[in-house]
Amino acid sequence: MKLRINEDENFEDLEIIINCRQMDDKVMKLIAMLRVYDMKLTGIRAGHTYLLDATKILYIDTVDKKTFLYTNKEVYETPLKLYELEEQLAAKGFFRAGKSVIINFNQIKSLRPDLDGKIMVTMNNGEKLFVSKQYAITIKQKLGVI
Amino acid sequence: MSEKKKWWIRFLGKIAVATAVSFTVAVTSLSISGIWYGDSQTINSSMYALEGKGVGYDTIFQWLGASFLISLVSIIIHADYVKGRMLAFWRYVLNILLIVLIVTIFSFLYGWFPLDSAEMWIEFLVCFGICFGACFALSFLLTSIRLKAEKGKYDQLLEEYKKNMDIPLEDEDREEEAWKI
Repeated sequence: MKLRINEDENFEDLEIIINCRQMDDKVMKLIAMLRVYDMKLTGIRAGHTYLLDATKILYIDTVDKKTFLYTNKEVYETPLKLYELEEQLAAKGFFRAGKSVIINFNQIKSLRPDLDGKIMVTMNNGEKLFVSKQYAITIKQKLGVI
Repeated sequence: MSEKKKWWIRFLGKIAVATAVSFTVAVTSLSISGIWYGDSQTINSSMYALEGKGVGYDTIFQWLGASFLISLVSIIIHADYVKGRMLAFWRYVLNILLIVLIVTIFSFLYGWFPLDSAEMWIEFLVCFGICFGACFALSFLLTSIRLKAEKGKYDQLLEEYKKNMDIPLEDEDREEEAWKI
């Protein structure tokens, strides 16, 4: 892969042009990673590619080595891995809630402490997720409990 | 103070508190049962050797030892390390079995009750079941009250957090979430 940077004072916006023989998985992943930088995510649903606003994503999980983005209405697949998204999206309020899930704290509707230090999280679409004791600390820190 | 030292202090503190609670419950139960039918059980049990006049020093120390062991296994079974590897239901089952095993060993060593008597076994298991059930019900009630209070506090803090961070509420957020490209 060649990387060429053209620096010119006349350029108004940052523009990235990808020249490729065809759009394969590698190119799709590269585009998805660039989108994350802009707080946008690329999601695939029913054979179509969508651009998603990161703030509208409720949570992201991994099932059978595939990563899925959950919004209020739909589920999209992303070519990115969970760890690749975790770091980039931390600034938007996402936090690790389990080995295979990261949650958007800003999309939490309510919290219910459970036995063994766990916290049951109800998302804005009514879905309920459990956050284990190990990861519940992040929630408590955000709320100022500890 | 190092983390390891703090951990040991917390661990020993937990055992001390649990031993004190178990020991208090055991001696109180023994005293109540002794007042009721201690006179008639002097042959069957070494615990009632004083014929309802009190609990012997040796019995008190035996129960202190049993309380310590019961507390130790209970704390280990409910430790974070085990919690992550065993379901709550099976932890409680294992806990009950180990308590019965400890009491059986002490009964064998100190003659608390004749182990070959089915009648005494039934009495022991019924008493144990009542005590364990009562403790479990009380603990469940207190935990439920605590969790309900915490839920209210968490939801209030979440609301304040959203207000401070200027996060739109669920019904105010009507923007498009995805665009086909």
